[in-house]
Amino acid sequence: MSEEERPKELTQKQKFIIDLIIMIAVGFLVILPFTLYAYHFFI
Amino acid sequence: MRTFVEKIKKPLILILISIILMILTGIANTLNIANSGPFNLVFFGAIAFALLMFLGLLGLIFVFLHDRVFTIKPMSTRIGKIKKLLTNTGIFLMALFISLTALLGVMLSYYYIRLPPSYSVDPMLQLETWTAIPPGGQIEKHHKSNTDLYYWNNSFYCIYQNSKWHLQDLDGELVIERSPDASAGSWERIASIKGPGHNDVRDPLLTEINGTLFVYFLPNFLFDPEPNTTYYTTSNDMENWTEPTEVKVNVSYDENWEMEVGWIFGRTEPITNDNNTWYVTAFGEKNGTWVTLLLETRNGIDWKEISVVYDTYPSGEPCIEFLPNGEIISTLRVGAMSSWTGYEFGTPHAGTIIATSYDNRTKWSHHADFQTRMDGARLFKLVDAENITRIFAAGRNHLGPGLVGNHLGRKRTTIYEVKEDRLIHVFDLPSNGDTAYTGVAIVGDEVYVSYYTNPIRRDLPWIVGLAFFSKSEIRMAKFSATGLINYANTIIGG
Repeated sequence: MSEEERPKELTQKQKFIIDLIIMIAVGFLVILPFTLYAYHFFI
Repeated sequence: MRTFVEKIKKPLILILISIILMILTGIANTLNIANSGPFNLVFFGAIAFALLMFLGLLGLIFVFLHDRVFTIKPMSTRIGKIKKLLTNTGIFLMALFISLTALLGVMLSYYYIRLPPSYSVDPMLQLETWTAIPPGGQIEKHHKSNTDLYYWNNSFYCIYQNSKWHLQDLDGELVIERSPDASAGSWERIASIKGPGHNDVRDPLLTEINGTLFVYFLPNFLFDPEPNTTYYTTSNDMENWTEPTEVKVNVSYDENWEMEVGWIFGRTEPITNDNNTWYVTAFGEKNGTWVTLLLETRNGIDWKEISVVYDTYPSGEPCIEFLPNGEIISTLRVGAMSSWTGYEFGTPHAGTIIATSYDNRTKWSHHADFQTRMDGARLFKLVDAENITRIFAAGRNHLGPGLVGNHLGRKRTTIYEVKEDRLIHVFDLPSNGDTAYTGVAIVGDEVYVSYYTNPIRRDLPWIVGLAFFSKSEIRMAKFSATGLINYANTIIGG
């Protein structure tokens, strides 16, 4: 495989940004239902 | 070996398709396109986008955990392969749990954003609706519910449950507010009623018997509310109330009469047509069977059984109204007229029993109607131009999707005409999520209906409005009595 055909590897910075986006999006979606339900027990 | 970005392409495409379906389904719901009935476009759209979203999230989270968090390396030995298999299984289960929870988060976000349909009605009804009592800024008291409306001494009185949410709230209360004209911003809080050492109190009924004001209400002792008795308190001025006392009922058995507690009053306050005897319906257990009884009193305190209204299947929240001949018509909420109770997902056998008394209210005939289960209702009567009495109900319409009672279904507060053998849908009031539990006051030619609902800028499913976005307000609807009769006359089958 020549240099042009090989898929470009992501930089560490790009990988970090993708990881961060996934963690924030999934984290928000997971925490949301628990938060909306559980706060009733603390008020 | 494929890169991480290549691996998450397919899950991301599934998520993208799901989001497009969500938008289309939301628009169809808002435009009232194929969005009601047990099985419809919005229902199947929701199933399809939820499934695609789940698969997309599962794929994305599995790849993320596998490649970026636990970074599993290929292993060539047998023990290494077994280790890899076990690790992958663990990661899959973790991804499954996270994706299911995230799916719930997606659905809540979708319902929060989804716009409601328009609530247009025929102009002849002269319908006006407004927020009478807003949720308020106090988060521990932002759920206003279970209304009753009473017109007394030229003022409107609204009594309602004030709590943090629909489920058990040990710091709840019943509140009475007064208004000269029921308009927005005119309501003034004048009294608070709490239970005897227990403040989860709900389903108030406000009336006057022999010059004394009575509030009957139900204390609840369970997380998922299921009241099992009735209390009452009295007043002479609507502001100062006596210590609550448990209602006792004299119940007839084959050999004797027994004074019992544990009878749960229905949705209609005691009614009279001679100012001598007042009637109410109550449900409870008699001889091991769940029955609804008609009771009578002369003073609001001593109650006595007159007849069994209905005992075939467990029922609740009965409503009553007098017919012109002195007999009584009643609607009863029935969870299932079979052994298929289908609690969370509903059942095709849920419905409303319409019972009509005869032989001086001692016997009852019955008809079943399956278009809705009449939750949280109130009956009221009007007399038309031909001097014919017409019975109407303000109660809950189970719009679906899914079967009646489905927790994910949408519900509305709705006006029905009640015939002795069927219900006729007349029109929906602006409402969504957790709604209904109405009060009715008729002043001149105007019908006032109080009800509670999640704020109407959204269209929440019932369970979402109940357990997650629990803020609710008390709305007032005002419409012409003549207009209602004229409009009901135009409905085919009416």
